[in-house]
Amino acid sequence: MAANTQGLANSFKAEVLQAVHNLGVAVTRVTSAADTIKAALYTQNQSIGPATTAYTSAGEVAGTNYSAGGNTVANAVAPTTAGGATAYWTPSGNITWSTVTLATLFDTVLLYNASQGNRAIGAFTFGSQTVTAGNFTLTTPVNGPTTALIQLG
Amino acid sequence: MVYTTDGLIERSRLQVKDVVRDDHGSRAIATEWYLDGRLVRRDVTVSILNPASVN
Repeated sequence: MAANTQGLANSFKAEVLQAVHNLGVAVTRVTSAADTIKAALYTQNQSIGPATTAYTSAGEVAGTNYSAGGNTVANAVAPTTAGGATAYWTPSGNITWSTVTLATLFDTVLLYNASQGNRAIGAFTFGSQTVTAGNFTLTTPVNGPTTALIQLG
Repeated sequence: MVYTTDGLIERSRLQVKDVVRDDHGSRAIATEWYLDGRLVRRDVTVSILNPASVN
């Protein structure tokens, strides 16, 4: 016999990522299109992390062919649960800075929403790197419930 | 030809070394290009292995 169970609706998790629900002060949106998501790089020993609420230029890398604010992230695949219990989203393409020179060690990328006041989405760290007259590429993981870059389980 | 800090250099004149580093829930592969022992180009590819999750 079936039983009732308590829990957040799986569909709600994906819908949170799609701004379907508003449980607080309404955010005014001028378009129904997906927001513009950007990625910015930060030098090591900064304070970028879960407590970061928005993009900041403080501590951002600087160098040849790097523009402050970073690069726009490909966002062609909407968040989904695919029928499961975890909502997930991953940029739909790698994030690449081409022919850059970033001479100061950097170790963090901040994803943020350029359409909503540059609010932070998440910080991701990696072993510190420099780039010399070359390309820096962040490869995105497989967009699945256990592998996606962002997961709401 | 490969773009370097010295401009375009013939590929055959460059020595190439790949450096793989696993760190902080990520894997980085750096390709370093040397001209007469001097670093003239460095490319990096990083794979993020740890997702940001809320459970």
